[in-house]
Amino acid sequence: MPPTRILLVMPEHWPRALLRAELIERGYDVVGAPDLATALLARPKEKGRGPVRAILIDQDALVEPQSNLLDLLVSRYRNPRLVLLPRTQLKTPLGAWDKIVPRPALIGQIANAVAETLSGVQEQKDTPRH
Amino acid sequence: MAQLEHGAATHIGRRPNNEDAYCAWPELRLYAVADGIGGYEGGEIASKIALDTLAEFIGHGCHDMDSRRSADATERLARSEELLVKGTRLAHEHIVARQVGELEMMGSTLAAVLVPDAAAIVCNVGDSRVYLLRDGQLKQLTRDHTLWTEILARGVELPKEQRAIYANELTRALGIDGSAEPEITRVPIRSGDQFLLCTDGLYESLSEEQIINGLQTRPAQEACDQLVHQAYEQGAVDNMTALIVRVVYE
Repeated sequence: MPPTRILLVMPEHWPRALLRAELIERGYDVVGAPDLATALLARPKEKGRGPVRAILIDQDALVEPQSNLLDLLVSRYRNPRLVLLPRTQLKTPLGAWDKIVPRPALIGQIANAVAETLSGVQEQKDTPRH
Repeated sequence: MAQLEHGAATHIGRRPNNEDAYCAWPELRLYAVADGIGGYEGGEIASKIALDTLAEFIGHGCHDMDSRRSADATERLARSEELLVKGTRLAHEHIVARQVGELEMMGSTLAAVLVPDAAAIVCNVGDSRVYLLRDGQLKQLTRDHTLWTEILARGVELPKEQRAIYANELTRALGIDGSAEPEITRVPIRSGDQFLLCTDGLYESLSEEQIINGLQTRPAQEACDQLVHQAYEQGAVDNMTALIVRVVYE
């Protein structure tokens, strides 16, 4: 069975690359994107790859009008788990966040948060979320 | 009841196989095109399953409706719309049921027109289109279910050079779980109306003006042949299909 896929939407290249490497080490299939429009190009169904079960979004990627694409991203991957990496000085954006990881956070802590949201997700995939 | 004349043509373009398909069942007053996706032979199979399933389902439904002649025009229209929606969903289920092995990734678009009475019911999933030519004006009746269209609708502008990338990504298609819901539009018909059902290989290669000019050709079959030929001559790579339905008189 192919590993679960995770999308990382983070404008900054290095933190994204480090987090991606950390999650790959843990056995996930990880796709990185600098913005929401680019993230949408990951196909929901790809031969040999698992479904996208979690998306981590840096608040810096939620600038208007790109933030209008969040609902499209969520519906495209059939309600994946959502993890927000907020900016401390900004108001937390509205969204059905499963987890919010406050900054400052280490790469390992962010990876832990993503992994936690995925625990038991296989069993819950057909259960409607509230 | 309006009389309908139709013509249809498909062309492989510059691809190794033709994954497009069309169907015209004048006795059901059902016309449809489908563009298969999925590589290998998957695309060809998926588009065929889509059309066969839809026609069979609507055929049974129309027979059932004919046996209950008491239904008035409004009821018949509502019933026809329901048939189109359910037939499309069933086509999706039939494709999903065959997604095994090499066919795992197969899917199909669908654009269909059903003309039960004085209105046409237009249905689409994916990026195949239905146009209406009326009084010399060409109007696109369907909305493309692509990332490009969805992103623009949300007020986000992307560089034009990225259009091809985003326009090729479907947000809805038969065979894609959770994304196969058809979009339905009702259009009252008039004498002289022309519906053009086509796949992206055709409309991506022709300008609006060329499509309008092509639709002036008589009969409908010749117009389809001309549109497809012109698209090919202009360098179309993708498979292309045109199906024209003309309302001759009411």
